[in-house]
Amino acid sequence: MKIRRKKRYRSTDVLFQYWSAFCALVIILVMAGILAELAVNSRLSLREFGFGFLVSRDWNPVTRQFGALSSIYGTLVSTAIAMLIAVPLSLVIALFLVELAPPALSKPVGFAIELLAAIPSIIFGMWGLFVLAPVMAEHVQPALKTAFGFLPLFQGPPTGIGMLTAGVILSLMILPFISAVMRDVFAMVPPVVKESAHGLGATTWEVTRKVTIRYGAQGLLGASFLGLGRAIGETMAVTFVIGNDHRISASLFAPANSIASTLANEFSEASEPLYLSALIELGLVLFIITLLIQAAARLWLRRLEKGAGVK
Amino acid sequence: MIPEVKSHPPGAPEETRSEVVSSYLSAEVRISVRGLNFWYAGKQALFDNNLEVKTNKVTAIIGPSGCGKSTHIRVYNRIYKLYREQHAEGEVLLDGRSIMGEVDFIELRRKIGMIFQQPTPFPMSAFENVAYGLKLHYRMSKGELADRVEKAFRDAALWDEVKDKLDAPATALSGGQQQRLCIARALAVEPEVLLMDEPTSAIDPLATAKIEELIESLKRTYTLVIVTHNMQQAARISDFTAFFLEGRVIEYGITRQIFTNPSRKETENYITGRFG
Amino acid sequence: MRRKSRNARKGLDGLVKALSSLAALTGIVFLVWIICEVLIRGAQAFNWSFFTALPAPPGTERGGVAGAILGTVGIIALASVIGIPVGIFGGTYLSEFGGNRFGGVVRFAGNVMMGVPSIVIGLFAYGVIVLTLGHFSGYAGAVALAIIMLPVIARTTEDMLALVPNALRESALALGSPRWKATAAILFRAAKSGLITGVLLAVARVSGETAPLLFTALNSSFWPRDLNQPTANLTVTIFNYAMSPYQDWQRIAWGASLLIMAAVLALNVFTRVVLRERKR
Repeated sequence: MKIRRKKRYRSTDVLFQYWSAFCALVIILVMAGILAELAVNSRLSLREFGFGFLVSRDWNPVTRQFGALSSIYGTLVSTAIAMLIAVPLSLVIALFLVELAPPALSKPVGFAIELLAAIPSIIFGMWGLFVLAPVMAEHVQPALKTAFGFLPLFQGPPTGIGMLTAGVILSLMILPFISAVMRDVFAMVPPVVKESAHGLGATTWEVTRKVTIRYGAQGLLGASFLGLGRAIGETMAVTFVIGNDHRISASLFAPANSIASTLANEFSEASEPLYLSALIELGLVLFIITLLIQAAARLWLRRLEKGAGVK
Repeated sequence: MIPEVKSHPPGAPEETRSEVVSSYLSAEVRISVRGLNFWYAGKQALFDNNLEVKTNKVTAIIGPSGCGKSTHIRVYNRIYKLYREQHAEGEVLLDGRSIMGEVDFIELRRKIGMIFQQPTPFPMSAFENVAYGLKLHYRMSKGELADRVEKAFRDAALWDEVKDKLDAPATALSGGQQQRLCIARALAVEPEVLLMDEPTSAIDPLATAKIEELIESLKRTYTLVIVTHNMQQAARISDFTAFFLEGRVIEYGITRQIFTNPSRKETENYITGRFG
Repeated sequence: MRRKSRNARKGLDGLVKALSSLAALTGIVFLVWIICEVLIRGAQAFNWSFFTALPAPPGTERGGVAGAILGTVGIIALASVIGIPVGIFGGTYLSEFGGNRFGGVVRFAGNVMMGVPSIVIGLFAYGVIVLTLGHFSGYAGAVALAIIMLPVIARTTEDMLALVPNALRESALALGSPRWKATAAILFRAAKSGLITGVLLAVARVSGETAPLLFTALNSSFWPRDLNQPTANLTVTIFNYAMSPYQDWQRIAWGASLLIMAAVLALNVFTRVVLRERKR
């Protein structure tokens, strides 16, 4: 009788292990599946346009000519704007949270920043379209035009809908992610190291600039990478304010398109197979870009864990 | 076990005992502490500390762990001010001038250097580590910088070992070398006082001996305060010793006296190993 | 050799400190601004028909999102039913048996998957389900959302279970308990609040997702009776209505936004309160 009971245990245990292993396997299968499915469904477009797809400025459903360049351009520029704003801001916010704020302040502020991260993208989109865009059109963009209008960047009608607004909204969205990771990086610097620098007579900024940032340099870069990855794939917030126009313009005021916003705006209109396939190929391009960035960020952060300095 | 104490202070020529004692007692006071109290987030850690640190002498601070030794010396360079919940009150004078209240931290911390229990090399080359303090406070030519860095390394008895590896990361050095690097880094800005918080407890015995030798030579130019839980070390290298217990200065005086003829029972119990 | 000006150094230090505080303040200002705008504009949409009526043509002032609310709830419920068990068991595998190479690959894949844009996941669900079945459906939307939840729940499950001290595992097994029972009865219970937090946060995350539903569940003006066809949902409704030129539709979009935002923020705040209480 005892032996029989033991056998039953063993088989349920094995079942448990296999079942949970299978669930873990699902993750790998889905990831591979995404790549496979996107590749398969874009083969029409791949065959039709080949590599030229990536560098063609065309996007004409009527003549059935499709090219990813305008979408890629929009993705890259809006992301660049977002990073330019968000990375330095995140750095000083993380500095604030770790070095400057009294504990009574740093917890609620940290919490508020985390809440910002939880707000869904479509809410940012709504706010961006109905609140930020008018502010940009009436105040920010005219001011920029007056001050820097000689640059082609700030020419053209300040409608509030376009690349610049998209970049600003994106920066707000990635700010909490980047600053959260940066905060963790700063917190990991051993207090004795910071005290050693202070002990030599350095001001807080001098300690941060030369010691803390160096100590956590790899982590700070990894944080930026993560933010970058998120910005590139962001859909709804960008779709609302970028203007949905397949053009490549030097002006940041002009409407544009990102890969994600193209997909969101045009998928329901794509009636014929080539159009659909071109859109899916866009999705494939986006997937591969984010894959590369994610992999680079993770590998970088893994190098950080084999850290340097004081243990 | 009462540790063996040399019959005369190390390095000094033969003198009569009373001559030594009187020379010690008449030495200048660099840091004077009166009625120092300290709190960690409302909980009191130091009670009415009184102490005098004499110029160009080594003062050891001994006592069981957690009795406030480190807390006490961290008041001297006000490094505790980095933490909002830490709070100190009382009179602490450096060269007769108060360092509590409104004071120029930059200058105070340049004058009072600090070495920690773990070596804390910055994530840069050995050269840049020592240059860090210099570049903070001074503007100088490359040549001058190199000269001063070399001088600091020599003063820390590390030059010969690092002169070929100046640009290698400081973390590549051994533990004992890293600690001497930290000492060189502190010496580079020409302080008056060096605070050392258990400087050799994380170092192997051979390197410890080197650092103790270094301390010997440093006291000619600098005033040193060394926190240690190693009584033998205190007896070996210090001129004065203060015994701390539960946040209070129980006894303070010439090292030899403390170890051979302590006047307080608690001191005797600690020294003879009955606790701690 | 000249001494650097101490005042200049302190001045720079003060400037940076001021900038940091300003930056942190800016973050909070934007958070408060966004929440207030959504609150104010959304509340203006709240009335009886908003909560009880189905979508109506613009200009009639009679439309509502009742169907969309039900649809969203249904899709998320189905996504949870799929995603939560797979995620928890996957995370359990990683924590209990996953110290090997396979576990490493799973973790890497999970990390990468968490970075995949949700719109791409929507495309995947489109290709695999919508194209295969030949029509859009709420099922496809639920699957897309489940895929988004999966790596998040697996990761938090693994992290929470890893926090449970090994001594607890060993004492359970030493009593002769089979592995699965030890895990279910003891480990899960010990990590309960952490696991729940992970699940709730994942649900909060997908509640606000729009892009994956754009190509799967689409939207509908009818009651969501059958998930096997385009299903009404709040987020796509917001998208459609907001981009339209009609004032009353835009107002409804704000109302729906308020619903979504309130739910997501409530879940986030709730989990933090629950977790904090547990920690004491």
